[in-house]
Amino acid sequence: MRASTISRGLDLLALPLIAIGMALAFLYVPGERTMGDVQRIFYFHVPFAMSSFVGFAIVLVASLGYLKTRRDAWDVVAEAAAEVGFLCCTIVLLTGPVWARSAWGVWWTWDARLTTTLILWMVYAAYLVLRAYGAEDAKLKRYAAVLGIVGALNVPIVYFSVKWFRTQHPSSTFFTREGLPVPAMAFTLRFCLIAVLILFVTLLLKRIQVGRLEAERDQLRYELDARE
Amino acid sequence: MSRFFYLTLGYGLIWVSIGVYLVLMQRRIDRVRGELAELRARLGRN
Repeated sequence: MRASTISRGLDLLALPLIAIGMALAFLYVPGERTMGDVQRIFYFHVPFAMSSFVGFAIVLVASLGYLKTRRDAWDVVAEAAAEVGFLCCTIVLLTGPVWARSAWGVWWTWDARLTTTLILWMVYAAYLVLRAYGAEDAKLKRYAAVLGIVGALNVPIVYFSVKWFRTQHPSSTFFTREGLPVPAMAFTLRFCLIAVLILFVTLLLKRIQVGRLEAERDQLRYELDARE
Repeated sequence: MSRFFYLTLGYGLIWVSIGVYLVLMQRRIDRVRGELAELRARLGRN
């Protein structure tokens, strides 16, 4: 099966899954006792956080692949994953304060989870700025790969920050024995996680397609310069 | 402000971010495809 066929299939799948996820978050899940309706942000806030972690893990693998092989295909994947991961991390940093303002009464606090997430976002902002200034330079691609790896090493610190430090942020709901107390909440969270991950893969494949087109354009420019 | 306001704001920010990113990416694809077509035409001429 061709990559473009998979990409189109995911395009068609992502939107209805997201719509069902929204319906579950708004209509199916009971309201949380203390926070009320604002808690419903959580069903998309957490999946976008997990998707950003997946994106930065792909950056780690692809950057290592690029440093080892110097093949541009790895570099295209690393840049695409960094950009889509950065988008997901931005959404986390936008929705988190909205929830915090309603739940804690403040938009932002220098809590361990929030601060480490902001550092992660800033590292990848620097990565994307570096890429924007030296897209075709092999040396800058190497520097970007190293920065991408350093940024991805921050992901476990963000994830475990709620365990390692005293924090206001709610503890992890994935990969724990306790999980969520209400089955409808756990089901909706898992459903939304799948929907958002499919949306993430759809965006990633589109961004990789852009990277390949840009690589083809650069190659044609090089050929044209060589002829003239 | 009501909690519903914050809920609307939260979801609004999510889908506006995704929408803006998709529009920017589509514009980028269109621009690169245009450049590719122009470069192919120039290569054909030379």
